[in-house]
Amino acid sequence: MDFLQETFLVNALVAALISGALCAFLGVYVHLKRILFIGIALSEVAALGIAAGLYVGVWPEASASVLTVLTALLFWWPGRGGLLSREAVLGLVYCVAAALAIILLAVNPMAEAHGVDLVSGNLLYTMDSDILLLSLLAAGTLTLHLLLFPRFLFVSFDPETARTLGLEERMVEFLMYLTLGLCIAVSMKTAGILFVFSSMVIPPMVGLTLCRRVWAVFVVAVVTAEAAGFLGLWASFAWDLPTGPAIVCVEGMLFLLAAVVRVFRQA
Amino acid sequence: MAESVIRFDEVSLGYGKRQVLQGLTFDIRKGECLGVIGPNGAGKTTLLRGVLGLIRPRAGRISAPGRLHYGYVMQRQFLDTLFPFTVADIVRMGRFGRKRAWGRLNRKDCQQVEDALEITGLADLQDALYRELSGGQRQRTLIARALAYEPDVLLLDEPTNDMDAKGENQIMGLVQEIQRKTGGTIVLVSHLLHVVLNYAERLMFLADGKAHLYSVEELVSNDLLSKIYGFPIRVGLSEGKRYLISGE
Repeated sequence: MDFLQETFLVNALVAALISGALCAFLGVYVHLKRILFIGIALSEVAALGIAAGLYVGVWPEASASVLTVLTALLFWWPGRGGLLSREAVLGLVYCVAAALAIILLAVNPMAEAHGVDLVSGNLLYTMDSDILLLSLLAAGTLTLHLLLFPRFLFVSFDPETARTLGLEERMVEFLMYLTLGLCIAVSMKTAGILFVFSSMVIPPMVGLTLCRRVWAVFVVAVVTAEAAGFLGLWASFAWDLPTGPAIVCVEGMLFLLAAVVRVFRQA
Repeated sequence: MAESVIRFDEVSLGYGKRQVLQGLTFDIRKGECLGVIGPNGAGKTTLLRGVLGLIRPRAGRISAPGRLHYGYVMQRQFLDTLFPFTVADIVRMGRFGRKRAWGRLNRKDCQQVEDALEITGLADLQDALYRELSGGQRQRTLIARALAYEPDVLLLDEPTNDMDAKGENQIMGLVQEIQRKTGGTIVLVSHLLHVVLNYAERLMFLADGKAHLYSVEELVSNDLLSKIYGFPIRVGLSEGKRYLISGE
């Protein structure tokens, strides 16, 4: 555990564990609702929010949170089924947000000084204030989700029937998109798009591959994210690799392992 | 005449600029099984959505004497089987409609879930994964979820879609048994005439945006089916079941 002797590495590990757990937990719903592209589009919007915050000189987490939550709520709002598919709109949001973020960073001489790498992130720059913010968000999100767990599941699985049974389906969906937007925005600042998106996609895939109970999918997704965070950070320290991408690669390897286990179990 | 539980007064239903049904005036009577039939696109599901309050009438009024609880059994093909929900997981969902926003299921709820599993013959399958069930078993699961809600009105949307004769017979037998045991009101939507003809007391035909309501006896005795469908259809009776003979 040599690598945990340094404070900045401990901070990086804590941030990776909290962000990874949050993204993996919410990622299960993202899979269930088949809205994976919302994860990447919101990550890019959060990146734009951070770039905009740095450019105009406001707290980047605040600008990212406002922009991401507003965009998330835009996707929550029921559409009328026009000429364009939801995927097309997501693609548009992703491209324009990415382009604007790149432009805002290019014209801002302070961006490089802040060590901003919005794509691969830089967990090693995690500060105590980042951890405090992430912890508060994680506590709030997990409390809400544990209290409403069966309702979140029901509404994600079958929103129409949930509504006919009198559940506040729109409110539950609203809370879902709100927590998704906030978690992505806050995680993005420290961890980067790649880490946030992959943590929403890969750990739930491990859960779905291995588990035959829905609660177990959530548990295995979170445990996978935690294991990948720890092993990835260690690999990053041992072989001098970029931290975020190292964690993502470990997540990918854990998924391969899960797929092999499944094949052997079925044989 | 039986008490009315839902009343439609000159109701028009549709989506966006598209009018699907218009001028609907009828009652759904307490304890009856009302069959709703019509070709694809005639507005059967739209009618159900109107009853359930999922869409608002564009004109007219849908009223009920009190607050009704609807047990909606949607078309099972629309449910995603990606996630490993067990039969019991899905049936338990029905109880959350009876709870407050933060409420947990209590002993009474669990008993209700067990009763619903028992009635639908799923007690032994409660730990099985929904996605690994046959079409008939999935349909039973959705019916059990609706029953767990203790509904005043049970609404079934194409419950025998994509089923073979045996599956169809089992599901409709179950619907009949539920009505016998609970005495509840059932609205049964299907595009299969022989299904509703054997189980419903009254039939509503939807075509060209209009609804026409008949008793089954009226339909069978007056050769109305041939007039409605525009070609000869006769109804035979064998061992208490009606069957259709179409053509000359």
